[in-house]
Amino acid sequence: MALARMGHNAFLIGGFALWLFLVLPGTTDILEANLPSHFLVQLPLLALVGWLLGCDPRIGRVFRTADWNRYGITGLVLALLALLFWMIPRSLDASLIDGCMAVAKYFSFPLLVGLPLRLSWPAAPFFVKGFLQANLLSMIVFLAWLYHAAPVQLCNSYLREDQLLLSQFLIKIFFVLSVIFAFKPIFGFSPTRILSRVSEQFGQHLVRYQDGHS
Amino acid sequence: MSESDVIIAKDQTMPTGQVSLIARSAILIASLVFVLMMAVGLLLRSVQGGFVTIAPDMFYKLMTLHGVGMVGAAGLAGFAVMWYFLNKYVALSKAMFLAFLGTFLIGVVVIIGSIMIGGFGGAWTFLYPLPVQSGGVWEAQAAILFLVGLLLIGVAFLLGYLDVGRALIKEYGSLAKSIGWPALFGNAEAPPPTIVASTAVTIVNVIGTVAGAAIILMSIFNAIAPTFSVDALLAKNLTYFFGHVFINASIYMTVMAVYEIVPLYTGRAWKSSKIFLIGWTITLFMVMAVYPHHLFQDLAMPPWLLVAGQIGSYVSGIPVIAITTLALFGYLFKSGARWDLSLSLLVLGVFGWAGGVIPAIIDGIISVNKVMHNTMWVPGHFHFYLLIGMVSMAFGFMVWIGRQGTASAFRGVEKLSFAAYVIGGLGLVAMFLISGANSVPRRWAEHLVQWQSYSQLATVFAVITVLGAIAMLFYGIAGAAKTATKT
Amino acid sequence: MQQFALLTSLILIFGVIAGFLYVAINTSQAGDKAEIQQSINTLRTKTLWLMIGVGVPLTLALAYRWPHAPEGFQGEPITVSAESGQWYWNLSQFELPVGTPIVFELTTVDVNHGFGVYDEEFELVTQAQAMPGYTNKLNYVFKKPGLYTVACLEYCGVAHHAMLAEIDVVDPVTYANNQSNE
Ligand code: HEM
Ligand SMILES: [Cu+2]
Repeated sequence: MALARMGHNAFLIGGFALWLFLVLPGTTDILEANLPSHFLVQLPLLALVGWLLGCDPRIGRVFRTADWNRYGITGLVLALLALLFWMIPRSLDASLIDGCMAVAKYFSFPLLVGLPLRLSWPAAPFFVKGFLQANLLSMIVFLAWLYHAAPVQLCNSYLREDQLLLSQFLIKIFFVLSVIFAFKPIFGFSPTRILSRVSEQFGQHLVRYQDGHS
Repeated sequence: MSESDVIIAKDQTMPTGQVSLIARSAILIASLVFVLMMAVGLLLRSVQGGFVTIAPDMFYKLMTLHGVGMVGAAGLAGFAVMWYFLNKYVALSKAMFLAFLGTFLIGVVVIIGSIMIGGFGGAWTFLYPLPVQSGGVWEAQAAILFLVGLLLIGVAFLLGYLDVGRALIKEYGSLAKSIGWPALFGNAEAPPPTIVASTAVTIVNVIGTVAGAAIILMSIFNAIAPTFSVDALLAKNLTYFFGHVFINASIYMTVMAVYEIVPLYTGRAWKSSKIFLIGWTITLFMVMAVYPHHLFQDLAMPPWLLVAGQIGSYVSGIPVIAITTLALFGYLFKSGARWDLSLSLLVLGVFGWAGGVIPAIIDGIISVNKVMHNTMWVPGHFHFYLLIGMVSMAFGFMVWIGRQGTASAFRGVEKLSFAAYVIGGLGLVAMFLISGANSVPRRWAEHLVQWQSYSQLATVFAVITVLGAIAMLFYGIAGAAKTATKT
Repeated sequence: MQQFALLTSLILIFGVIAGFLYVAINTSQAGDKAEIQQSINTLRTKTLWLMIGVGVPLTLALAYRWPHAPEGFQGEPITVSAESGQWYWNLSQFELPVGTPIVFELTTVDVNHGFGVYDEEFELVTQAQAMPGYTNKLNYVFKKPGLYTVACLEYCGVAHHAMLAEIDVVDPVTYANNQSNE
């Protein structure tokens, strides 16, 4: 019974646990130590917190029925604006020096990026999703170039080598994301379905195996 | 009704009403732009021939206008053709088409402003870093405006293609299915030709737009903050990838008019045979893989990419000649079809495509390219498959859609206008190719005296072409006016 | 080379024209659909095999001798630096010997330019691109003496067509004499 209630709240618990973990001083020190992990690990994980919270059916219900978020437009615009703000190297830099900015980051990524994305993405029409995905891909290439071409150190806290490293990571992410985005339109099912198919078959196999032995 | 009249079969499956109205308006806009830009081309050629004198900066501005106007109109015409026929098979959104058209036109206005008011003359290929380093001729703001205009046009097409992709997936389940892979590798029923070709176009153009948007964003940022420099080789790769894909896709879209209209004359349906499916799958990959043939003289390119570009250029010509052209021959031969203006234009279009591929392949050989690259040979081959190929097919569609279901003979004046377009076009292209073979460089505002006779002859042919094209536009408008009064 | 390319293209284009005319003349008659389909299929199979079986090896063969390494390029080359800019060519030497391997080191101080070398009859003999941030090495051996012209072959702005320079190609003895006199 207690376990079932836990399951019911799994997303909330998971989300808050991850959030707590991410803001622990030790964790922030490690993740913010260099630019690539700050940019490519901490920020996505903070957004994931919001995403997990949004998976909770009660939160989802409240927002999905909301009139102001029809087609998910409001939520997506909100998430985009927040993202845009944090993509400016100076904002990211400030979050390392200025306590207020740090707090803003720890709250805004889950609540203004991850949560609205989770609640709005499924409601968005195909062309909005496709448009954002295509734009994201172009933006990643652009950002990779930006960090590579910067003649100066963009952040006070990170060295130029860090910028170059981030740039290389971004190019790799670009290719991975391209494949992920293209997969479903081209093949008609999402790549995660392969995983579930495999595990399903494995399960059936197990059952058959047990049947054979009983 | 005389004996030679042909009744263009009113195919019940062809879209009518608003869909037809939208497609007709779009193709008329595109054709109007074609004719206006041809007049600009005529002016360029007469300047090169020494008939007319204008300042070089004006020449290059007009060259930029001609290039970007033609490429944009080609995309619009192709999209209108594809969109119209797709409506036979899938449910497309009219609102999205209007959003596409609106955004496209805003982009056009911005671009015209950047050229005519801002003085931008960096050519439609906007090859970095020329747009932002004009040598003092135009300001960075003009370049930014031009790039923003291009970005808007890119956004417009992205919206359009996303709607096409959505509709294809909704109807067929996935793009792999709508391009016919289950039929190619298994026994499933193949989708109609228009669906197969649309799928290929949608995939390559979405990818092309992502690449194009990336280099445009970099160029804009660089124009604002010049210390952020772009790698010139990367810029060339992205630019030509995008440009090559976009212009080729415009031909792929327009050829759907041939797939759909020619059967109405011949009574033989255009079929998605296995070889047809193979052709489109090869084209899907080849159109993205061959762009290094624009970079043969960039010695910093890895040699294997150049060799791949050479082989790819050749291979991508095979489907055009061995599949599309021969299929057309099979459908036409002894079919009893009666020639009229639109059938003639459509067949001329396939000829222009197949014919233009030949000098393209020849120039795609690195050792030839060594002495032909950036000579007039290059405009020679692409005017062949754009002017005689793509535009003829677009005109064929325009004339057909205006006359759908009505009787039309191939009248004497029509034959004359058609002949003018063919003779003018072929002469114009021949003069480009001959100039190229005689080492005349492309994109030169002033030619050496010994080169001027080529341009002078070309000017004469250009006049004939423009007259022919004006006649075609006239037939298109007349047809539209007639259907408008009828309904 | 150019005339050969033109001739080949024209022959093939006339072949395509002939095909279209033949079909066009025969369009209005009636014929047996199945029979025509049959013969077109045969023709297509043959064309495909011809284009793949002959064309692909041919294009491979044409790239086998690396086109950017010209014939007779043996021995110690003379290196000439060619710096380009809007709208000038700056060559380290404007006199060169015939029959000797030359390496042009192409650079640019601003935008892309094209280093096109024209002979006395104004026939293009070789070219390569000069692009920002790169040094492209163009190998060439002049076959005839004479006054050559370097012309820009990549659009670079308003005076692109006026971006010219001259190279005097002389026999090796004269070249050596002139070099030692300097
Ligand atoms: C009467 C018909 C036409 C004439 C007289 C004409 C003339 C010209 C001339 C003189 C140039 C510049 C050549 C040079 O590099 O020196 C040019 C370039 C070009 N034309 Fe046309 N043209 C015509 C039709 C078309 C059509 C129908 C299209 C495409 C649909 C087209 C697309 C282009 C493009 C893309 C360029 C390249 C511009 C550049 O180099 O930046 N033209 N044309
Ligand atoms: Cu130039």
